[in-house]
Amino acid sequence: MKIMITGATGFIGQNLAGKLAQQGHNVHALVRNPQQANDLQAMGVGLFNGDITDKDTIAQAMHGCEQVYHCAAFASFWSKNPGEIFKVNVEGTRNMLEQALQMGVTKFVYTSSTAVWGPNPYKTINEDDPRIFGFDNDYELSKHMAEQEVISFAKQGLDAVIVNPSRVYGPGKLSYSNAVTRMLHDALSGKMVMLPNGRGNLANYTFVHDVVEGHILAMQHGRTGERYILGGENLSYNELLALLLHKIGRVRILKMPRTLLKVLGGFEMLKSRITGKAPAFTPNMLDRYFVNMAFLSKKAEEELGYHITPASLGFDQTIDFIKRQMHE
Amino acid sequence: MNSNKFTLITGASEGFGKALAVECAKRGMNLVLVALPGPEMCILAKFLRECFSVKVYTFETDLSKDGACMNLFHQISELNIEINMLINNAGIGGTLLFKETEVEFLETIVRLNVLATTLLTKLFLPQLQANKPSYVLNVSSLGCFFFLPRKSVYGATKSYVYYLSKTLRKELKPLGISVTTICPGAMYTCPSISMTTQTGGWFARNSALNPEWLAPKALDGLLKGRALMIPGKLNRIFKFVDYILPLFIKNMLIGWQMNHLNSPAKSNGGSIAAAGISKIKLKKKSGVQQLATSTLE
Repeated sequence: MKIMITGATGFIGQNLAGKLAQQGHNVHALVRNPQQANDLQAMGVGLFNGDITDKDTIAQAMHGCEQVYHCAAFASFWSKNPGEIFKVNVEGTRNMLEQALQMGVTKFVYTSSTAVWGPNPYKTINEDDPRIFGFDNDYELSKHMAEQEVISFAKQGLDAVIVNPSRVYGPGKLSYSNAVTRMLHDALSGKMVMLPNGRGNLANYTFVHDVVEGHILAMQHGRTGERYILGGENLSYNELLALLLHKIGRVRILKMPRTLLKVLGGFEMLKSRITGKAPAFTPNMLDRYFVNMAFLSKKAEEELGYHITPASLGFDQTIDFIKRQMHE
Repeated sequence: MNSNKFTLITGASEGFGKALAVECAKRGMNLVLVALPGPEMCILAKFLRECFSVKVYTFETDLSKDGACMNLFHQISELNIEINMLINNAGIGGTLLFKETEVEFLETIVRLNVLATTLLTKLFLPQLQANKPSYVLNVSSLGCFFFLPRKSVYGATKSYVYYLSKTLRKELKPLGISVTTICPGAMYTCPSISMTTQTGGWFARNSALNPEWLAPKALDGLLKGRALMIPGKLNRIFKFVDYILPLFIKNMLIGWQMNHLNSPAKSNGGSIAAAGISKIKLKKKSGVQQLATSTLE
């Protein structure tokens, strides 16, 4: 089957594209820079030069495809030009949806994020819960607006489904959105690991192989216009730390209090204003580490047959992957 | 709190109203929520009942429509509950030149920001008096202190709310009703306003408040019986700078800004008017750097 995928050079996208190619599908990947996509080519993925902000290039890559996975996004809490995030995440998604409807694509899966709900100090979030925090950053807002686009196209007759992965980790690119794996990488190379001193605050960690499987299951069984949380275990920072120590042994940990992180975040923002480079973290982003963001993936488990790999197992596989990479 | 006492919040499905609803529920207060028709409020109400075990009634209505306030009052009266706190939060805003604003939009903004706030306060007055000590929170705007082009009608409605609240505070105090006015600047409320703020200038992004940050402070202030709240350090600094700057400099700045700003308004207030979506309440802050708009509902 011909399948189109965007964001195939990203962490989730690359894993997904590889899996689809491995299953024998004819995968069309829309990439901005084919030179940087040699890995994909080696996996047998067909490369199409283009951009989701350019409809003509979308049409070329989508031609003849029955299914579309739209994983591409501006996945950062910061942008030099705030309009860019909306252009890529909202307009780009609308371009994809328009083309898919026009070209008669049978099914469309959009990769959103649990960030659309933001934190919730009061309960474990499921798909029916409201967002209770304001949209104080471009990324979460743009993903929410993109979801609204998907839902509106679903109403117009496009069979589109939304999946919401949480904090994804696992083998693959050490990109911006793969922070947990980068942390494991640092721990294994003997570097100091910074953890927020958030004590019992929960976050949800999901294994990339589960997320890839969840995408494929959503393509098969997802109901039109519905959202599915693709999460893993909810762990507190203490539990995460315990797991880290158990798996790696000696790790140098620096527990950062909130106020210190806030001050550092302020400096990072100032620095990025002067240099024009992305800050290592932003004050907004930091707030997310000090409040619960726990998610329930029951809907995906019941409706799609989604399966959660225990964090212990997922960490083992990730650590193996990092060790192999380090030896190469 | 007495289990038959309720707090009425208008514009409760998004933004500041929603954050206030969460904060009230967290403190064990029962709620009557009012918002435009749509799924958000029911989702919120379900969440509040589940997490905080409070009673929550919801009413979907457009308060800018003829007779809507009266209907709402009658419907709530039938519930046999006692309202001891009224939060007039629903409102709508826009940044538009007066000559470019559609007549329908002008009607909606005045009806919602001015008339609905006035009528609801009047209609629930006997109940509030009967359940004293009781509280009224009126949401005005930082914009009511500044006279800014493109904010003419919005600013005027918020000045009205400010005047009304300050006067009612004096009149109603002997009845055991405390009236508080809150004048927020930009806030991250509904998605479209948040986006205007996010992509706006430095002042907008740095002065904008999170509704969930403001809500507990607003409620504390209300329960303490404070007369006026202007939240946000930058907003207070801005108001102070405005106070000490000579008029001719201010006029120069505003003139400069008007020439340089390409109307974010058109896409904002204009589309709101066109779509007839009157759910948003816009809090506005005007800055030396930029006229930031933000809404809350």
